[in-house]
Amino acid sequence: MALLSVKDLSINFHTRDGIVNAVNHINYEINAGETVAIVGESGSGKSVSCYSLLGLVPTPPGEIASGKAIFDGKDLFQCSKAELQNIRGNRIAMIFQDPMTSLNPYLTIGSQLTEALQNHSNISKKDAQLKAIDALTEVGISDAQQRLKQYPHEFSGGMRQRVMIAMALMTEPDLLIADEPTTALDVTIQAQIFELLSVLQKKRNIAILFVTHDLAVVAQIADRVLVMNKGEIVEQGHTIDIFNTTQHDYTRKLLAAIPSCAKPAEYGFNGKSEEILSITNLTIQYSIGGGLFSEKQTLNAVNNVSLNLHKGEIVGLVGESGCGKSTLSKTILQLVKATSGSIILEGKELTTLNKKALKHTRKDLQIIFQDPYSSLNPRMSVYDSLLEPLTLHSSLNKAELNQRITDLMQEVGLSPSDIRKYPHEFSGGQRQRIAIARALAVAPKVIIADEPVSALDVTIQAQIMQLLLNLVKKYQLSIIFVSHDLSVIRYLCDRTAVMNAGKIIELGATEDIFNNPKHEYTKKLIRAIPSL
Amino acid sequence: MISQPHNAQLLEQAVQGRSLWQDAINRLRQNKLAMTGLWFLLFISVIGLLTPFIAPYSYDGQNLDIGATKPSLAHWLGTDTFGRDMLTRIMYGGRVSLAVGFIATSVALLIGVLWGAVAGYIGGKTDAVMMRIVDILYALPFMIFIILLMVVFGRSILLLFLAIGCVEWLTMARIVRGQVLTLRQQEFVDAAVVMGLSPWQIITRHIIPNALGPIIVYVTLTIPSVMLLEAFLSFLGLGIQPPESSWGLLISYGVETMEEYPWLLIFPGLALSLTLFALNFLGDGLRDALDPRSSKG
Repeated sequence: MALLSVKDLSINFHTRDGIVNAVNHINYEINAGETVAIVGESGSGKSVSCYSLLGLVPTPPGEIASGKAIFDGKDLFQCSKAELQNIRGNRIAMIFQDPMTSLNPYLTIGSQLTEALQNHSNISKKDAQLKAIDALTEVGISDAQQRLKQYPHEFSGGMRQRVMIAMALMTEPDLLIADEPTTALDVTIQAQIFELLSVLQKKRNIAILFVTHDLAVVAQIADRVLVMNKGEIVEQGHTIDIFNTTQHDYTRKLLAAIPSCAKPAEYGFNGKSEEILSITNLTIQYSIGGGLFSEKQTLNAVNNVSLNLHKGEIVGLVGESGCGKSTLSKTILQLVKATSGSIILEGKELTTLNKKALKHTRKDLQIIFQDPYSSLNPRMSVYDSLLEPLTLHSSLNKAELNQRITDLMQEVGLSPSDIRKYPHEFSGGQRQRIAIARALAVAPKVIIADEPVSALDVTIQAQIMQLLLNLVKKYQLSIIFVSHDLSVIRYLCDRTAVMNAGKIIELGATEDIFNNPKHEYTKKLIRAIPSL
Repeated sequence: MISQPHNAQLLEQAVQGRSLWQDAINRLRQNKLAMTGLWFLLFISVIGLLTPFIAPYSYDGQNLDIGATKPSLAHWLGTDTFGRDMLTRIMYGGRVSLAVGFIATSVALLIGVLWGAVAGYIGGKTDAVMMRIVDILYALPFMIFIILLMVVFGRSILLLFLAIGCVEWLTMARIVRGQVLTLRQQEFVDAAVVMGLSPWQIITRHIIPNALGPIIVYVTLTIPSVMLLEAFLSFLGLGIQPPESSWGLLISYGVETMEEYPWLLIFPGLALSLTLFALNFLGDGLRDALDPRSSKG
């Protein structure tokens, strides 16, 4: 008998535009001690189907149109509120994606850990605390007794996710629903969390329902896989079978979209063009604090970094959060002032340019951001967004401007008839295309791409990477590609610089770095990549 | 492949009527409640402008024989205790109240939005200094400030408007600064910097349009509070003096005689509430209309 069996589940959402069928007659089972991964792209219904199990889908607008979810002999959808509350947290626990927002910043870790337990059983405060200490120790947090008194902001991202897991384990659940629990974490931390989950699972015989968009993660941890697309399960089976003998077209498409090797040779950098950007001994210090009456403290975000970039070359900048890669890219763009060192773009020293010259030079240096939702002004239509850089840096007349904007839209694979739309009317991938078009508008020589594909689904990510490669080839663009995703870096970049704690610790041809890493940290990073 | 002239045509259609403001007007037109509010405000503004020509009686003509009569055919809204026609007095009062509402709020809006946006956008020491100035002004007793102004410059309605505006902008500046601080973190602002836009262009084109929601809500709250403030100042003898009238003044006198002559309170009260209703509907409509995400334009 399965621990949880979902039968014929359909979920509808009532929206202004009519009924949206988010989940469509899905069936699956989970046995005790088993890890089942639900994999799919955004909007596939993978999260909604799990949230509905705990009654977390808001109704209205949501509606469970049909189906049963039998958990340990009881239909979760027929449970009374009190029954559901008892199951929730007690028998079924949940870990969320973002450990930064899923813990209450105003309560100590200790009180958040013991809260669920004290609600569900008549345990004394002292016993609950002892249990919390055990749970924290179990998830690998040392000095647990002291840390109970700390607040969430005193923990790092990976530590917070450990606290979330400890919290989920407090009530000894039978089923753990994990909604993209490592998406917001660095790759080495992700590897640690997987390790932890599998140890705990073996020890306690917990079933894990793992929601993710990342097939490589699935390959690493899941016993069975459900592939969801547009609200339906298109394929399910044992992980090995899915990866080796894929049946469904959609699964094949997903697998093909994962960057697994270097880019095709025709897009490679020939290594012969002139140097366009050169960074020498760049150091950036941040001051912390420093109001009218308080003293400043300094922090070296980037420490003595040197890097050069040739015409038509893509250089990867890889490192974990907080390593200084974003600060470095912002400094190249002159959004942050360098403390010392030089940045030379085509013979011009950027750090000492005056305002007027800098404004003129800006058109040679553009940026594509990670999050296409915040990088476009929500109150400007695509036309206005593209018009702005053009009017600033060119003297085209109205007809020429319109022609240029139409060309740009086609260049990045958007329909020119969509030009009157606002950013929210586009999907994530399309928005990223708009952002690319905006960067291209002024015909820049260097583009800094700050994690431009990490917020996108894997099939969209493949399309955007292809677009970037085409543009590099066509215009001899040079790109500094910032990412924490090593497989993307490996696919796109000619050379790669590995950053750690504000320093570039290794720099070389991408394949050399992947095949023959020299630095310990690089080795650790590469080992941590989940692979198929 | 689409042919070029076809593209140009498409674009021509596409570009027409697609600036934020034109879109906003289109969306506003579809909002019946907001349009009713707008028409009502226009209507009373026109009446206010034309009052000297269309008012049935003079606003200060006393006739003690007909003191405090109920609404009748001759005096539609009745008369006050001095026998002055209430309709006329409400019309004249509307001129003052609307003017104080709009002028003082505009002053507050202009100074507050710019001050807050500049402080929030530039940040650092500039921000600290600018906001401390706001704090200091907050701490000044408002009444003393206005009385001083009146003593130094003599009593005038225009000065009253300015004085009220100069006080109301403080809150606006704080609200806008808070908005700007979060907006400044958004990547589209960085993108605009990289594009080479000047700080002033970024503030006016990217920051303020995105902060409009809370600004409009606050404006619809400020206008009524300014009108009531005027009534309060007039009551203290610092603003409008009888026989001139304003809605606030009429209401405060109406309250005194509420039990015997309720129409002296009801009609000015009704005029004020209807105006505030209209303002709120229009404000809500504007907020929605200025946000492209709120509906399909």
